[in-house]
Amino acid sequence: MTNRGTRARWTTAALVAPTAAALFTGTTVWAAGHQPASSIKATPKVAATVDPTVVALRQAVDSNAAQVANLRKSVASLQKQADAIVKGTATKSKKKHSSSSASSSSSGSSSYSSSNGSATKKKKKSSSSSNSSSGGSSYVAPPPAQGSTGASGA
Amino acid sequence: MTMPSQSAESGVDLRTSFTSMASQVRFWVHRPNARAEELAARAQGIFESVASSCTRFDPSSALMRANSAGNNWAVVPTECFEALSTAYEAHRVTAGIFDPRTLRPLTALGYAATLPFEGALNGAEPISVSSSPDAPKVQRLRPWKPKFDPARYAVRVGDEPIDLGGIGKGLAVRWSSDVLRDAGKSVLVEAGGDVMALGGGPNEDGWMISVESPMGGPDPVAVLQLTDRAVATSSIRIRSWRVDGEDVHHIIDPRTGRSAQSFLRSVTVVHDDPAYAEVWSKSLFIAGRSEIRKMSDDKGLAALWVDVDGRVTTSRAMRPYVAWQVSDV
Repeated sequence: MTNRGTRARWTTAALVAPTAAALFTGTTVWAAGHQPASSIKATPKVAATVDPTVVALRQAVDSNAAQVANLRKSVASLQKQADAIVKGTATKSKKKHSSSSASSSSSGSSSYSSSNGSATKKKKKSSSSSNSSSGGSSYVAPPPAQGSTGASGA
Repeated sequence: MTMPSQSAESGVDLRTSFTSMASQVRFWVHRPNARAEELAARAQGIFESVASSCTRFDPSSALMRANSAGNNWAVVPTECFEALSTAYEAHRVTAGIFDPRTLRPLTALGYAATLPFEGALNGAEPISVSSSPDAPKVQRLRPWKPKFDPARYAVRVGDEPIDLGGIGKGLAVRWSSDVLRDAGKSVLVEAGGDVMALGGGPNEDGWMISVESPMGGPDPVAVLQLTDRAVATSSIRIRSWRVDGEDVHHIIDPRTGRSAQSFLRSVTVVHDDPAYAEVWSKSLFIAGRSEIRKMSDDKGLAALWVDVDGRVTTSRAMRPYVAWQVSDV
């Protein structure tokens, strides 16, 4: 009786175990292959696309910030030059006057870039500064050009 | 266009000016040597050869014969062969953004013959044309697979006809500069916005090249200081017109077969080579405002662009060349 009952339980267990194991394996494989439902719903679809206008505006902000920084440097440099000229005029006014008039008569064409000491240094003006040139001294005229590229470009 | 300023040696400098490829061409040789005049005449001859073989406005030109031949072989002059093969090379280098197969789209937009764009220089309204009912339909271009036989200078351009206008001028500047390189101490070649600056110029510290405003007016948006560099600008200020009330221009986006909707007004590129300055200025224009900064910085291209809002922006590689610049126009 006991032996028969034990044999029956072992037989049942032997039949059920592979089924349970297969079921467990199948569930595990399925779970590994699927995202939890909550994380799928939590991903906002709109985050995948970026408005090109926003990108362009950010680029413009970056560019303008860099230009403002360069403009500040330029203003500081011009201020130094102006201070140096004032000092020079105070010490040897006649000689300085004659040399400065000579350089201005050539409209600064050659002295512009060389006075910067660096060809890479940018001189900038904004449309607002050019409109109010009488109020401020930040307008810097472009150096004379020897050639041009632009409107008629193919 | 700004006339070259007088240099200290203007009395001895050689300056030549003539019209070719619908543009004013200028040579300026600073401190010319004994061969300068002869070399300038040869350089002018190069422009004339390129113009006659690569024009799309003459049905008997070598280019138009190759276009008519389509998928059949056509033997063309050296200049036309080189221009077509360079155009194909540029097409591959730019991943198809530069595409010279713009003749059909331009014709569809009414630009079948030379249009009187000169009025735009004086601020006139854009000219208006009507689309012809039998004009070819605008469509997206299929991949381009031309064939070249360098042994006999033969080409098979394919189904879509080619326009070599921009790159042809860039190549004319390249080849004429190669000739003029030995003509003097410094040389400037200028052809309707395509420029090659050889040597340090009259002041020995670089040729000063102004970048015209695409909005018009006498003030430039920048002045570049160039030594042994080329520069080209793609702009829609002049070659823009209206078709059936719609504003269009000559820079065709091969992805749509229509005028590029780039939100840009002009793109200027500094490069070692005038033809590639031209190729990249056009390609960056087509890439548009949203892509131009990334593309130019990724490829190390020296670019300056003006967008439709008048903002003037430069790529990283352009900054060393900028002697003067405005932030907006």
